[in-house]
Amino acid sequence: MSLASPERLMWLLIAVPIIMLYILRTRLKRQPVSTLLFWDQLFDQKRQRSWLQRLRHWLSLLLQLAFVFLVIGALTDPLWTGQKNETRQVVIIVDNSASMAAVGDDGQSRWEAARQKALGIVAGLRGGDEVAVVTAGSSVRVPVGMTDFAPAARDAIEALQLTDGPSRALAAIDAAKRLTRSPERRRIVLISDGCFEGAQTLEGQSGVDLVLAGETANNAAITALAVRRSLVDPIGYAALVEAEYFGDEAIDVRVTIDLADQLVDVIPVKLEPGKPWSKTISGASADGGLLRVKLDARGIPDGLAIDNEAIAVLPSRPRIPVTLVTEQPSLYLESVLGAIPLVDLTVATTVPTQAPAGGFLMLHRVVPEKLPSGAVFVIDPSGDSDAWKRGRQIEQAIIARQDTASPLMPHVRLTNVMLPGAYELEMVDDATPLLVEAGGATLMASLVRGDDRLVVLAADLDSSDLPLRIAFPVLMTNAVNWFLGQTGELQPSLRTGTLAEVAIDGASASSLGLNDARTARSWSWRDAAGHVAPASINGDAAVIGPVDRVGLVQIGPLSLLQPPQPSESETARSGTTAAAEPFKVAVNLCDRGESDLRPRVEAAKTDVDIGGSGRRSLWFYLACTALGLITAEWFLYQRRVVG
Amino acid sequence: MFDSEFLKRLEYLSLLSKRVFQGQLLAQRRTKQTGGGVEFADHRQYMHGDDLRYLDWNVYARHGDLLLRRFQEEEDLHIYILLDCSRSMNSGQTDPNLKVDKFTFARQLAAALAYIALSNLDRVSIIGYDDKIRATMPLARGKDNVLSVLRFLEKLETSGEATHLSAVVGDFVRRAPRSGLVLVISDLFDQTGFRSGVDLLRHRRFEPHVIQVHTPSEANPSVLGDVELFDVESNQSRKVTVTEKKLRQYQEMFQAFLRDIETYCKTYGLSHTRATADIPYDEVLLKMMRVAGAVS
Repeated sequence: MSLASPERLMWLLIAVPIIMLYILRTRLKRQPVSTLLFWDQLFDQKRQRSWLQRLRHWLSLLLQLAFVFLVIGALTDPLWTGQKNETRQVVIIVDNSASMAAVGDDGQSRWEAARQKALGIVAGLRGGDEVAVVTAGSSVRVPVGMTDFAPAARDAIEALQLTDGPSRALAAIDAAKRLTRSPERRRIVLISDGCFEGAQTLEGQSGVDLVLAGETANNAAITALAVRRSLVDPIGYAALVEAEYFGDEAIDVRVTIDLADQLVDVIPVKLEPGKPWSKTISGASADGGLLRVKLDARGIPDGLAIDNEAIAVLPSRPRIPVTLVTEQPSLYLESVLGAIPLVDLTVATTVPTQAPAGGFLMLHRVVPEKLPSGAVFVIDPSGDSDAWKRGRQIEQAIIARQDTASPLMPHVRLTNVMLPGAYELEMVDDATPLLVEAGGATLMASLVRGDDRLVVLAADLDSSDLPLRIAFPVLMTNAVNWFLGQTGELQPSLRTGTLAEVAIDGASASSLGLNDARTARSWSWRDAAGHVAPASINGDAAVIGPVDRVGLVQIGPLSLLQPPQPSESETARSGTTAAAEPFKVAVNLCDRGESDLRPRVEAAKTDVDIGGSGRRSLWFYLACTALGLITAEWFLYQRRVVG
Repeated sequence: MFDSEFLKRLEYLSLLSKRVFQGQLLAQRRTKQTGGGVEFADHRQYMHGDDLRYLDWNVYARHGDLLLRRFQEEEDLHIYILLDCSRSMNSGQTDPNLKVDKFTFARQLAAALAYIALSNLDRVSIIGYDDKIRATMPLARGKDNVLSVLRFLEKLETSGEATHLSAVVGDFVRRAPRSGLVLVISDLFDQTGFRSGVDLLRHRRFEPHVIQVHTPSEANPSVLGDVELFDVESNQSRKVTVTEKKLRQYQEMFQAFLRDIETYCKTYGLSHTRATADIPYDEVLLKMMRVAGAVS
């Protein structure tokens, strides 16, 4: 036999004060009396057993000392023979996914029940056992690695937070297996509500115990919200809403849609169990805002509240000022620019000193001595500038190659198109050649210099059929988007627990300094709960996630990230366009697996015994004996019958 | 020790004796002898040499017989006060409910009784005892000796490790010049039994009066729990656990003890007075002892 915690033997010192107290106790309070005549008669019967009387207090001392020795013996946690070699590595996986927030009929949430079970497991660990804590919600995290210090695991469990993400139970089990070194000593306990895909596969796994927390519950949820721009209306949008009831009987609910706190529609819906309901709601708004879809399930069994609402950010669509400078009217250019939605076209003959804010300047056969700052599109330049040199004229220029990777060229196919009279371009700085003719001369190029953007097309529109091709308006639209960075485009809502690449529109990228390498390094994201994490920048996109909380996520330089506001609709309205405002993107649960609060497993444990060896630890018996002794001592010596 | 009003009331009291003892000096108590008293006893024939002042001339005038008037002699009574000076009498010194402790209370009683006796021209002797006679005040007579009585009582202290009344009485009866009234003032916590002492007094033709004193705490102790009971007289101690039940048994036992003494005294026609130290001693004298027939 050995002791798991021999250092606790120092508690034996507590016997010293007990003996001292015993000595003090035996010095009884002295009560002077006139005579012992009556007292002797009174205690005469006990005096007949005087040998027992003499032993009386000694026996009390012995009982007390035995109690102390037994308690300290229990504290040292003596191990049975061979028990020392049976120390285990227990990994407690706590499912803190969104479905664990469901509240049962008894008012206790699954999450609280799970935490209590986890704490119970930690409390039942023996000395020498190792324990680790892993969370399986939204993302797999390891708050406490394998340790034999149970209080650390207990503190970690008490500090665990619920997430709004989907369950990652299977991934957590894989992580737990990697945490343990000895498979034969491994014991994995997954505490979950069983509401995740693949729960059935756990039933046959050895070494993995699924402990159910909470009971089955019915739930109504919004399972999808997808918003897109209207194909025919530049300020229009269409929202696809899908809802489902995970229960036994059909229910009547109301779906409420509002945009920027303005009611858009209220739809009464009858949800049939197992039959998703979906509807596309169309609307138009140039100002945009936060589109919020709510499921009013009052009065019906609804276990989870978080999935009764979904949001999407609908950015505003600003007008795009475009100044066309030409010495002679250009029907093609005016027509194609005027056809682009939201473009405010201004035709001028003099070159302004800078491009219009939020728009761009188009120079047609006009070349100023110094190019204006900002976004400039030059078509058929009449001479050289500080950015390019116009080379030789090519009589029959045939486009042999185009840059398909450039954002200016999506859906543009100009290969083998002839551009008679086009000029060769020699860009001063490193520019991106977009169109190259068969002889290798560049006919079109783009250039980015700081905040300035320049596109040069050295082709005569009047002598070629380029304006008549479908590629030309597409090219112009691409140019507008490249100059403005897709301002006002819809950003799809994200789902909790996923890693997402969020495209930052041009205006926001410009105002937030995404193109500045130093600023870009400080880009972070903050979720609705205030959690801040760094974002990685990939071109014009920020990679964030996995996000734990539903709500609006702010993306931008760390200094601009604001604490979550109580009312997010107003900030969301101007969030993507105003300067020095972080970019915002909506995050929803929208997970059928999490919204379905019915466990996927048929038979699972509601509790787990990790006793392992089949018999209780020795400390338990010692503690029971100590309890019996102290009870006997109290009964024999300390009990007082009053009254 | 006494105020004047109380002393005045004491002077009207006298100690009663159920028997008539022979005295030494003329006093206020009738004796069996006839002599120079004032109370008429009977007549006898005149004999030569008799004092002509005692001739009953009225009888001679009516009948012509010379008869001599005889008067009952009035002598003094020997009163002995046996005062228990054992350490058990020290009880009540720390009791806040008591004005005086038990021993002081007993001494006050003894002083008052001695004053009554001295006022009646009886002869008073006070004997302090524990397991033997510790102090003796010789027989004194007349109120002039009141101060010496008080001084004697003032000097008395508790002592001894036991109370042994029979031994003390054995010594006392040998020393006493004449039988008389014996007032035993004690708590009667006599380890060897006080009855043999009182019996010896009766057999030697003394008339014992038992005045039993105790404190309320002796009758109803309030001690509870694990205590070491320490006998102030014998210096012995007992480590006991006193429970409520034991306390009730103690009280019952003490009451039985009191009843036992009362029964004993009644059996032998002894006057018995029981007083607790919280009762004023004048009340004990004026009411309780009068009821008991010890004073009149």
